[in-house]
Amino acid sequence: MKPTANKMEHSTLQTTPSFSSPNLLDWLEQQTNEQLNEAPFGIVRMSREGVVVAYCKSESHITGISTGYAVGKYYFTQIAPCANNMMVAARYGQPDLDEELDYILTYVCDPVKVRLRLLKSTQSQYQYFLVNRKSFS
Amino acid sequence: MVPDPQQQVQKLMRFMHHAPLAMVETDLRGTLLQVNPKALQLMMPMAAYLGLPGDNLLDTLTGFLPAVGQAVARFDKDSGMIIDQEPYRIEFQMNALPIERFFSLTIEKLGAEILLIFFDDVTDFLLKADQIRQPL
Repeated sequence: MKPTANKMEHSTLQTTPSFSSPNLLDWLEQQTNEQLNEAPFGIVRMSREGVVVAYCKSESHITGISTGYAVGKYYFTQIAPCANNMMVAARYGQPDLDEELDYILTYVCDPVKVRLRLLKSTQSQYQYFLVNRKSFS
Repeated sequence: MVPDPQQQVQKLMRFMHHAPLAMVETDLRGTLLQVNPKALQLMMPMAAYLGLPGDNLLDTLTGFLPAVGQAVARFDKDSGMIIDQEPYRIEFQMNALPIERFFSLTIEKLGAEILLIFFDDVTDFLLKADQIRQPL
């Protein structure tokens, strides 16, 4: 039975919940920074002070900003000033946060239409900014 | 030595990315073509308040300031300044909080199909200017 249990645990790590899954925050908290790269949507893992801890590949493809440049910087003032307003950044002032909204980010200077999910909880070690690319029509 | 064009473009992009002034290129209908982060920071809450997706700056501005849309529609030259650093006041709500902001707005028609729109939230500047005017 033991090998089966290990296999199931491994399988859980490999299966990314959907962007809108109610269990997404729990899943995110269990992933290493490297494992976040496998997600099909953009993930920014921040400290609770807003400093970037992990900036996954999908996010980098959406914004054109490299992981190496982003990590260690304050996300809303240095990396994504386009979201540094009451609509997005200020929402992280709440102890618990789980909101989805449509937004526009930039790839260099091109507008990129996205769906955002803002996540944190009093129990979570980190806070998260998730990005799902939408068609720009 | 000739400067590397790619490096020059990257320097320009960094300049645009960190500029404290909102800079937008749109088509004549106002659809975003190029935009810097400051522009999205300022316009997205306004678009959301109006229930708009935010991909059209003229629609967003005209939702608060009908005179802006009228000025663009009336302008019949191929190029030129339509609005030059005009001050505007905008009121809306975000997260149930009333917001009053003052903007400086410039719109220039750059060709038959291109508008350049520059705007700045000058609310804090005006407050500081008022403080300077206070007698000691």
